[in-house]
Amino acid sequence: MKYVLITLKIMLAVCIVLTGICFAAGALFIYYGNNHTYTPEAISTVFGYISIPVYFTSALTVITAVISLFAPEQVKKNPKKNYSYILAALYKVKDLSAASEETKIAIAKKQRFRYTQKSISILLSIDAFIAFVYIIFQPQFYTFAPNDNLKILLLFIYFVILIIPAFIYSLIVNYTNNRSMKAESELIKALPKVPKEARCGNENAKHTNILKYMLIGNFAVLACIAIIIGALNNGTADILTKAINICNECIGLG
Amino acid sequence: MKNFLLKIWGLRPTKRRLVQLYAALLFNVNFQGFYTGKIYQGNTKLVCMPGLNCYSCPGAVTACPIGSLQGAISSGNKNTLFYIGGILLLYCILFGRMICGWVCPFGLIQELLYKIKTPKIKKSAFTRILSYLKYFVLAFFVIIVPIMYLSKDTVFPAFCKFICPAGTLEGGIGLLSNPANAHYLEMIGPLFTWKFLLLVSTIVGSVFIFRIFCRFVCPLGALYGLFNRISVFGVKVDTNKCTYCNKCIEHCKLDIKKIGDAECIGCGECIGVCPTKAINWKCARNKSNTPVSDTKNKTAKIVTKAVIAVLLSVLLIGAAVFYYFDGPEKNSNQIEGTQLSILTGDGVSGDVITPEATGKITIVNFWGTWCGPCVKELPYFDQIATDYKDSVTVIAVHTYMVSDTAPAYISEYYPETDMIFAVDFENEAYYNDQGGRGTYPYTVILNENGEVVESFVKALEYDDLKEVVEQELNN
Repeated sequence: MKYVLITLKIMLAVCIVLTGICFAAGALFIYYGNNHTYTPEAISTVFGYISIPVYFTSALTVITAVISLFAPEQVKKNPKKNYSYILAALYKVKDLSAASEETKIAIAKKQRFRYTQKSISILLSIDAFIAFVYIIFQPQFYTFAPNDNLKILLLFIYFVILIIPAFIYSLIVNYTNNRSMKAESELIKALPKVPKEARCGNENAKHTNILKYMLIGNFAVLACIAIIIGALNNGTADILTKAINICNECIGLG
Repeated sequence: MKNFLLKIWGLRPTKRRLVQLYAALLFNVNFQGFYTGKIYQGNTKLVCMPGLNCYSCPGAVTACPIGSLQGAISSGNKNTLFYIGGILLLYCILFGRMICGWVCPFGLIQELLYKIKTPKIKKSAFTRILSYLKYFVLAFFVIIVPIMYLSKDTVFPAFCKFICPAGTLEGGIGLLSNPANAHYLEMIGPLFTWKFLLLVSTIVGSVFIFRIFCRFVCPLGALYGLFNRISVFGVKVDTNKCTYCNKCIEHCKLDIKKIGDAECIGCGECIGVCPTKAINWKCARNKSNTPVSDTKNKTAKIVTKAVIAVLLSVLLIGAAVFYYFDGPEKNSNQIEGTQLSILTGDGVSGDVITPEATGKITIVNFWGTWCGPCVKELPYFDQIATDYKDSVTVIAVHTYMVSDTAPAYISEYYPETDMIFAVDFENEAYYNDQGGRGTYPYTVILNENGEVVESFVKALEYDDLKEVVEQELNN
């Protein structure tokens, strides 16, 4: 069973890559074989052939999924650890001041690396999200008209330049960060523990709790005020109208 | 209770399961609705329940928070937004995502489906990435799309319309399965097929993946999750006791990174797993150090449980009785006559009209500004009124105006029209009298003698109307 599953997974990976290549080749074939234009007829003809590997890959995916459901559960010997959680905990209990200068520099370097990577990743994600939203709100970008290559080019730029690198970079950051955090945790683990009495965690926790309670109180008061203002100004009317009549959209008819 | 269920059905429900079942029953206590095929139309629907429970479910006695939020956003009414926003904020602050684990009826359905013994797909890095999808659903379908429809003066609940499987199951299947609602079947189209497929996928997926909808799609869970860290109730970790063994994370079936984060539904299963007892409820009392004898403790526990069980049962039975008597009274309160008040851009004019006595073919269209399909089809009625001015009277009857958006809508979009706008009575008596069953848009065609010749429970196109009118004119 194990080997059948591995073979199927390899086949699936190959099929997915081949299908992708077929799509790219098909797009190029239409473009160059049809006087540098994308006509609906050409698209339907060429992509009609490409649907065969798509069906094959889909069938293979279903088979693999079904077989993997019945395959015996594999227990991971070394499950992936959540280093961000472990690190946060270690920083609370370990005495960083007892570290040597070299260790301190190494830890600071790792921290810098982590934060830089994460910041770039977040910025790229925001960038990609804006691009994605922009594309969604511009109907001309996904309603292709024949001979409209500029739009295709713009779409290509948006996807290739912004979204795809952001996604790939996020994956890389996830991997490298994990490695970096593992090394950082190893460094901190070697340090001595702060004595329980000397930990300033309790004091900090008190401050955090006060802030938290203030936040809860403020939000609760805000919520109550909003409800009262809304209810007194007949804000409940729309809710009641929608709720007492059958919502066609909700039940899938409208 | 536990022992009783164990003995009778071989079940051992946890406290959480009992609370989930109770909440599902309490928020769908209009049992009569399942029998009559009508939804509850009383005032308790002003209040939103905390979980995902469709307000078009025949049993529902409260409103759906996500449906109401979309309605409030796309209506642009700031008071409605204040009201619904305040309620949601209060739920977020008090309970966070604990609502998903303890109250949500759709979560209960998914958990019960997961109990079917099959191989399961466990959480992984992929499911973790997929769990961010719900934030996109919240941002796009619940907030952005309704905002886009703000300028069109119509309510467009995109999440309800295209995604919500709870609506399809509780509202759609719940209503369509009743023989009294057989006429709804003519409205079924591609949208229902899509939503039904989505529901089937969710049900099948729930058997293999724990809470598939809650983890990856539910916008309500996404919203509550944002407040999980500061909510009053939930689970907390005592960092002084925690040894960071990660057993709690490994045991949890959800995509949590740590206890109490945005993915945590506060089910409390991790409390029993922790070897150092570092996890506890946020509002848990510290156990008293004064020794109490075992027998005394046990007796007190049994008495407390019995009292709570009795009180909750009384509440449930009381609610069921209340809704039994509240429902039919409202619907059976019919009017004496059939005259409707004329509605203009300035409000109710004081003139009346009797649709049965116009002496012409009369098209009575029941609509509402809050109803997307109604607003969409209204121009076709306007066109018919213009094209058949001499032989057809078109009366657009607005539902009873609990909000006064209709006059403004008429003055903006239909300042000059051949249609006659009217308003229904407080209990929508004319609508009920004409065979309406709570679904909008609803259109009735009357002949010259005032007799009903055709009725449609769906949004009509111009050609549909033209065909019926031509047919009647030829007769």
